[in-house]
Amino acid sequence: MGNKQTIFTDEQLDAYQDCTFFTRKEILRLHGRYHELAPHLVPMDYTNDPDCKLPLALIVNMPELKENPFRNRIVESFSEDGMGNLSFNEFVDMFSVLSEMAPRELKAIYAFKIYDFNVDNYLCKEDLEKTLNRLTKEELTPEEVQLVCEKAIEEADLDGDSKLSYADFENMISRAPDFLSTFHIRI
Amino acid sequence: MCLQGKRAARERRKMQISNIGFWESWRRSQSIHRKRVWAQVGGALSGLLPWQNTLRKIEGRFGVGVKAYFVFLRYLIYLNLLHCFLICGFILVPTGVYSRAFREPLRFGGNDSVLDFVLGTHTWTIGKRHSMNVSFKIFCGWDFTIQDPAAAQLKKSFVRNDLKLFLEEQSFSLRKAQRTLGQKLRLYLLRFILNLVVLSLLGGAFYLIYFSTIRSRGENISSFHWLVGLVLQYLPPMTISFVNIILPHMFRKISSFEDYSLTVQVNATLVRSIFLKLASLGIYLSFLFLSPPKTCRENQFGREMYKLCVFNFLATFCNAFLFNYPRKLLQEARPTSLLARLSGKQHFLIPFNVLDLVYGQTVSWVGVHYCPLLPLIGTRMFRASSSSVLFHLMLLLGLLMAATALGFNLYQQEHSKEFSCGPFGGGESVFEVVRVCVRSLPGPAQTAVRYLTSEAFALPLLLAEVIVLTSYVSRQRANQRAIDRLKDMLSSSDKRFLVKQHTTLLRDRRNRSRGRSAAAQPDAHQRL
Repeated sequence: MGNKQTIFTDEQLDAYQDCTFFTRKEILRLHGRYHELAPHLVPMDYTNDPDCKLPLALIVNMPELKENPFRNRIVESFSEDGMGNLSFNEFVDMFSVLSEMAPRELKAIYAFKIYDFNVDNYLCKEDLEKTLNRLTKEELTPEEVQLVCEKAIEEADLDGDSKLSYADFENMISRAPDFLSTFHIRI
Repeated sequence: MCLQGKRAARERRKMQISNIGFWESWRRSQSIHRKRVWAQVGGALSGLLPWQNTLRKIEGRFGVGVKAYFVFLRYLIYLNLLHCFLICGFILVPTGVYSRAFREPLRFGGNDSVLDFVLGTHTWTIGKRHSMNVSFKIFCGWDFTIQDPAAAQLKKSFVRNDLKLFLEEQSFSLRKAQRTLGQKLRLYLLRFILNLVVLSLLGGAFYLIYFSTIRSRGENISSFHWLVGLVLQYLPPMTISFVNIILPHMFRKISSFEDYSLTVQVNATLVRSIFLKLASLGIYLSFLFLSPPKTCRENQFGREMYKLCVFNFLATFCNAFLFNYPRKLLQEARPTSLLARLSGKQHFLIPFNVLDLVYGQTVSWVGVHYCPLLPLIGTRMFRASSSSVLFHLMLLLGLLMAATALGFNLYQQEHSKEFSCGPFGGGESVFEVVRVCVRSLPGPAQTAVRYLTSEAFALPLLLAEVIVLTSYVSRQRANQRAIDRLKDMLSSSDKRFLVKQHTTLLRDRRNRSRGRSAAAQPDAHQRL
């Protein structure tokens, strides 16, 4: 990749390469994807760090996220304001954490954030019920949902406060065999 | 963590890298390169395997259980193709090339026809559960790589089915625990009666097969119209296929009354179906052996096996296209009509389809000695996936049966000295032919063959096999111990975590109480 591109300075590209799991080519490609979401909003020249954020509605319509029942939560947990407006840094960060190369611990941190619907640093029963309803498209009766959530909390809760703290969640995830293969988006 | 922070952390990490020697780092980099090369080679080889992409798509859409069925199928296809190549290479081609006058090319005679073998079956949902762990299902249940809406729908119904299975098992164990003594007695009586019903069904099926065998060999077939004659000749295979299709459905219905948990129900039906299929085949073979030979027995045997194979193939074909496909269309188009409700929803139950495969394979093995092209027909469907112990065990059962049948055949009968009887033309047995062949080889080859069959070779070979097996077993034991050790470590880290939580809790409580007392007497005792 020569010095032909004028989107980023070399220092910026190096910084992106250091702090994410992407190569220079992939970062440029990501910028292309970010740009095509809103061509009139996103500048082609990022050398002077423009302050441009794309709204939630544009990002959740990407084909990689469209069929995901948790797409809103995913974008919200990577946005600084918590409302889902992503700058390019946050955009790259999101796909970097969800890529194949991200380690398990990092993914677990963000998975916890995603499933924590009321953002109180605990996965309480309501959070689990919301997760389950998104997952099964509300085809289970409320009693069944309650039963399943109770059993899930019972299985994972180690400190007995009938909600899952991050430590409980991480402990449970470390034993799940297919967490890494399912919690990954290819872009 | 912002970009700047991550950068600083990375700088700090770089400075902390310790100094290892030159050789050590060279060795490490070499091992990393070697591992990468191996991974690439492995990836390339598995990419060469046919249908690998299709398999991955199947796994993505239908789950690992269905994929396992197809891997087993692919394995059977390879087996059969290998068989075909061996036979073609060693029997058909030399015969064709040399074309000695007194040995006609292998054929089976009779009025059998050649068939196409393109087939496909429709798969429907129902995946296989990995573990009972509900929290895994909730948090790792969704595959984030799904982009296709149909696949997303399928995955959702997958997750829902798994959860429903879990709920069903919970409610079943609750129901079971609440059974009173009277209910238990009635249940056991019901189960006993139903087992009797199953036995009588099996007996009826076997009698039907016996009857059709007698009928097909009894009369003077050629005195009828050619169509009737054909039907009469194919009567035993038709009966067997009919019985094999109808009875498992009845078994499934019966086991639904026996009030077992879902997995036990499926297993019970499976065991009964296995017994039905293999036993019906076994009974048919024994009738063939025990009845008096009319013409050359070997040719007849091969012919019967060929008919079985062909008919089984046809039946599956018709079942797929003329029965299941219209049923699926009907379900999709008018789900509430009476006909749709009667015919019921289709289920791709993996173990039963595997059983069909094993059955077909067994028939193929039994007949291949007399009818070498049989394995070609055995390769029915063209998709595949990974194998499991259960499938191979069932296949082993089939193989044992085929071997028994063949051995019985080879040792028991008198060989008619007709011209075109048997695979070797003159009605000779395998042993005579092999003896003649070996004697016709040049001197060194003969000594080599004699050495290979002597004890001096067999015993060391056996010893080597025992050593290899022992190494595998000990490696398995060592791995098992490592697994147990790691599991222990994991659970002990739970304990450490709990202890840490406990001490933190205690400390907080102490801090709070101290804080309260310190507030009463303000002095410097703030820290613990």
